[in-house]
Amino acid sequence: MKILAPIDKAEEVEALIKAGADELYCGLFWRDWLRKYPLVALSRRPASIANLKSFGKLREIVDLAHSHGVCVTLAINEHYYIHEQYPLLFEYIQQAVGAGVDALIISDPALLIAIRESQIMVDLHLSTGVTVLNSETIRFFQELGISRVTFERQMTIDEIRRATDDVSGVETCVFVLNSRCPNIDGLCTFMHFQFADPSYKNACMLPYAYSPEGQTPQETGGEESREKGHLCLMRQQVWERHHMDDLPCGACALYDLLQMGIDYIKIVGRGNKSWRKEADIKFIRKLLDILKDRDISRREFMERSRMLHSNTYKFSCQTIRCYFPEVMAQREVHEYQ
Amino acid sequence: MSLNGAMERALYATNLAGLKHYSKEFSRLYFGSEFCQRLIPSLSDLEKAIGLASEKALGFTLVTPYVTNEGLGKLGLLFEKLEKERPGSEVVFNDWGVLRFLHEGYRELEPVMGRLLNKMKRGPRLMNLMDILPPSTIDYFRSCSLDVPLYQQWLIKNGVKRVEFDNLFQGLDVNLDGTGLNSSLYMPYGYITTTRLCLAISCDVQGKEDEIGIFPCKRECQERSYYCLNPVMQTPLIRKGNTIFYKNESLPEEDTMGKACMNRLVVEPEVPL
Repeated sequence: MKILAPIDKAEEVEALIKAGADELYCGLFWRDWLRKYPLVALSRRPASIANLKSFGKLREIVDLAHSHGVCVTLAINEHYYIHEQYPLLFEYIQQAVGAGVDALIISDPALLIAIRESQIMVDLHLSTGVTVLNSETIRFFQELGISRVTFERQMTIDEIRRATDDVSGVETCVFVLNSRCPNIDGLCTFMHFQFADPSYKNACMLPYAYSPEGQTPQETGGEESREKGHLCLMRQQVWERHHMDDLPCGACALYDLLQMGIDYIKIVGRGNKSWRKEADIKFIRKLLDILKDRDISRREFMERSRMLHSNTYKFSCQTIRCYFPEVMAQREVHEYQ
Repeated sequence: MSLNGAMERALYATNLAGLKHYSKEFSRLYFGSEFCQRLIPSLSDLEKAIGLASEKALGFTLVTPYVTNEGLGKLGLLFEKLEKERPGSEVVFNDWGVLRFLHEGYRELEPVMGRLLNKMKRGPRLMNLMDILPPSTIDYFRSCSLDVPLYQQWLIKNGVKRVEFDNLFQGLDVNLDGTGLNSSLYMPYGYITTTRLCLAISCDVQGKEDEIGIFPCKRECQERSYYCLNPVMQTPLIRKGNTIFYKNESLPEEDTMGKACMNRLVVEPEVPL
């Protein structure tokens, strides 16, 4: 099982590889694009800090990573692009491929088809923006020429196992650290803005007033309505309090993921500080090293992973922060469809 | 709301209770769930819905959600039944795996590309910015990858002749004229986002509010829905179960609908979950 880690600067290459990254992925800002399409990101991370700034920098990263035998993939994973954008988009892709990237991470089936129809020869990986939840979706995109799939974050271990059970000839990738979106990534149509105004931060983090449907808050009346509104509000506040970037983790599931043959573990973190990227990689690397001991039991591994997590991040595991809450809280699970 | 006569009207019922909204204005029945595999209808419910459609001489469309392998198993049973009882019926797919599943085993059912797969931006905050965005960016938000000719041809080649849209506040500008594709418009509820970490599940279990995602579903979503209000949103968000919706009752302009080959209105008398 390999570690796929984010990178935003050429200066990070050596340190991230030394920390244990097996492959790097990145995004790239392109002025020509931003000038024409402000607010329309190329790769779902609109923050400048989460992107390389030139194809020259991309080439630098690729050359350096390749000298260590490490591949670099570029995210071009906006949920969709329109036809008018294709000339600019394909110029961008040509330049990226020219810079030597090993693969492109794609979300839009239309773009996937267009790249395959073009003369551009590059591996294509499926972004989590596509929403892969089952084996038929994997096969569907395999037939369209992708060589790696990234599963949706909101799957249980058993669901991932069933989706991979009788699939072969494609690499599989699972998220285990950071940015566990409260909504399904590929089916969320809220915009992610980069504005100073906090009203435009991620919509799932905004504070909302609540009232039963059909009534404004002023009209809300009756004990039952108030109680229901209260319970709903409490849930929503939990959601607002523990947001996606609040260090979610699924590391104790690595034991199961290894058993079922998952190929890549993806760490989210484009835009994170370099020290944080290194810490995340080292954390996962240590756990993968522990798993090299084939005699270790599942229970023992989970205990060690929780201890390492607590030592690394200085807080204990919580269900709300867990990528695989059914693994963490198995005694409480009755059903997680 | 005014409509030209050529527009087909379909009643969208997510469950049997929704069939009470049937009236003679409808010539098609949409039945099923787009957002949750727990809400996939049972075989007996499907039979009853097919029964109503046959009795009233309605076209029939089974609506399906995004699914895990477990959900595919449930759908397989329904597809088998539907293909046997009503060959030629439509199936709205909101998961590419479901399209492949149909191709592999159920060739007598007609796939329709659901609204969850066109990915157009629906968050109402976008409307606060429309006046300051350049035309190229506005074009982007009013369209989607369905305007890419290669994609259109690929859909037709794969047996998809109908695609579906939400009624966007920012407007719709997709040209499907001459492609062989027709489209449907859902009214008045559009979806914005959806999750598998359902906030409604066990929302009445005091003291467990933090433990989202590990509780059994008791279909609490069917009991409650809420307005979520924030001044930055020009319209209330409607949270029902695992999905957030908005309401837009203004029909697009006729030429917009014509350009998008929009010849079906999917009427949602209730929030569709």
